[in-house]
Amino acid sequence: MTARADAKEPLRLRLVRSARNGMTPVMLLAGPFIFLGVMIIWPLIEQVWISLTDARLTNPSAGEFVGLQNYATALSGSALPRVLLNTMVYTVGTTVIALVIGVLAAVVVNMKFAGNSVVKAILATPWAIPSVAAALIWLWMFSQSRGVINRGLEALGQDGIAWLTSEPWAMVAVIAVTAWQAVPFVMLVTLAALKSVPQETAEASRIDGAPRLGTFQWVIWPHILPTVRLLAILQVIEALRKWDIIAVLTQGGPVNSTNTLVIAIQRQAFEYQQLGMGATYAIIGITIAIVFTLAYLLLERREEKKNTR
Amino acid sequence: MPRITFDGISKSFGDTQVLDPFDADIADGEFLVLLGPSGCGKSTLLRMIAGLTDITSGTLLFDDVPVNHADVRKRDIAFVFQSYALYPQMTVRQNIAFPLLMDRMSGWQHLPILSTLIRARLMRDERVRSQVNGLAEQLGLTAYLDRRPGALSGGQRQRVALARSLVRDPSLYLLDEPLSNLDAKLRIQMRTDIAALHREVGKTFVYVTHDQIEAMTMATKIIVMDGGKIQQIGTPDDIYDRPANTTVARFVGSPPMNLVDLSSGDQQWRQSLRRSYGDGTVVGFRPENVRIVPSGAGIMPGTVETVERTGPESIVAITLDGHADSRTYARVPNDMTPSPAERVSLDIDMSSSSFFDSVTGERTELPVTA
Repeated sequence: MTARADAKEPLRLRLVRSARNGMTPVMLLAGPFIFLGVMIIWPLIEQVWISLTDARLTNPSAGEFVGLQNYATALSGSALPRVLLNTMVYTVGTTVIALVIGVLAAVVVNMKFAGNSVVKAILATPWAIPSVAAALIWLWMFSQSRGVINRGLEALGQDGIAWLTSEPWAMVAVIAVTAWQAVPFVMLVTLAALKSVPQETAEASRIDGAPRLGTFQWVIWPHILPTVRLLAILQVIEALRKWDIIAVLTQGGPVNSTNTLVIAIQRQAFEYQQLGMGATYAIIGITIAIVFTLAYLLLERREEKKNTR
Repeated sequence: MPRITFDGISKSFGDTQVLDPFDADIADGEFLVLLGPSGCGKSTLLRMIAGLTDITSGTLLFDDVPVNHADVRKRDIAFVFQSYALYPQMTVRQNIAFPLLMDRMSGWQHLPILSTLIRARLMRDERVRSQVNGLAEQLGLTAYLDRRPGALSGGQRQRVALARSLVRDPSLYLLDEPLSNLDAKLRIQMRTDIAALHREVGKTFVYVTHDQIEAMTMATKIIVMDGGKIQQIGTPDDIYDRPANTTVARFVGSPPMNLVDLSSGDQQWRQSLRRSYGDGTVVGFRPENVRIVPSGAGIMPGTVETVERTGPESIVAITLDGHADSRTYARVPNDMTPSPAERVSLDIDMSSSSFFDSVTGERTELPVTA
């Protein structure tokens, strides 16, 4: 075919041809890349730069280059280990609780029983409530003197607990509220995966002699496992950047016991006005998130290879 | 090794009756084929035998013991699914061993983590190993034992599914269109393999298919189903030579039985046939019982439409005079084929023909006078 004939080709054929030439993919990907560049990559580079300066909130762009001094200060101080420990407890706690309860709820809701869709709708509501509103509701419920939770405890003859102002309980409270909000998402996504369990394979397991628990263990669980893994990484990343619920409930207190990375970033940058130090904390947080994501992607690739070998 | 008795078995989903009540008795060791077009209720019937679908009315008996409410796991059956239904995350070895492991594991041993450890221990068990290895050898799967189903071809997966059903040595084998996802050549080979397997294990097989060749080649007994009704129960020869009604006659055979309705049309050949066989009669004859003779010599005159060479012989499609809406097929040797548009006449072996009532479609036995 000559070049002149090309011009008369239908648009679709011309697109296919130019795709082979390598221009179309570049053009199609240009949009997302420009967007990512402006919204993510450039701010990230700037963030890295700020973390290497002593910029303050009052002069954000006039910071002096100080090299890795912020990192040295952060890593040698006593605040960061506590912040990282808090972040780990919070992340693991919310992820494990949200996954366990969410998956169990999905399995239960997936069974056939009367009022099933009503239960599903009720279980889904926490997800629909904005985080700050949800946190405010729980703030009242956790109230030491008038909160419904302590009223309940007192009715059972127990002493009330200073939920948001005493050492282990503040962390328990923020984890509980975060997990409470995450459960519906986990449940709905898991439910979708449960709906696609191949019926014949589940029936085959019954014929092969598996009890109900066996069918779950050998057919249903392996089928939904990739979804659960995806939910786990989403939940980890969500926990690593969760700010609003902690900010409303405890503001990182008491005595830093719920002070996670995100809360610490906000404090460094806006309370102590140490923009450079805030950026340093942010870079540390991003690094952790990237490590988790890479670990997840590697795991997924290994699993995918396994099933076709 | 059960004898299966269907006592007024029927099935409906809500208001929709998908299987009309019927009785049948299947002897032990029989190879029963449930044959019918898709949507005729044959898979539903198979699932009812397995206990995967409940029975609306009637009683299903294995060796005279009602099993309507017996648990699937207690029925001692194997089921080969159309989709093979292998466990994708398990190796071929683990798939085949699965029923053996289930026999040896109690309920709580299926708990996460614990179950994986117990399975690993059971997989090392000498008897499990030797049984799995023996079957793998028998079915040519030894080289694939450590692969996962995703890495196997359709035929290999099919054999894994068979091995998994064989490993527990059940007394009843249920197979739901197991060959429909295979290519033609493999299908013929597996057909022979499954028939040989049946002779070897000597257990009762129930096999669902819409492919009448599969039914004719493998079955010792066939139940022909259509529209949720049992059309005929009999041996392959019964079904082929003495179809119970025009539905069976039309479904079995390729090309199917020719049916010529004598109740209408006033051509001379019809009138003379009507005098012999009655005017409310449909004459049915197989394509191989037709001889094509020169025009004027046979009993049914017509025009050749097409000639199809199938290799060893040819299928000739003929339009009979006054019968323009349907074709009559003849199976003839290659050297005796007429050419298209040629005027011919058909000579039919009436002693091997079937006769049906033109209103009800049911088989009628007529004294053959011709």
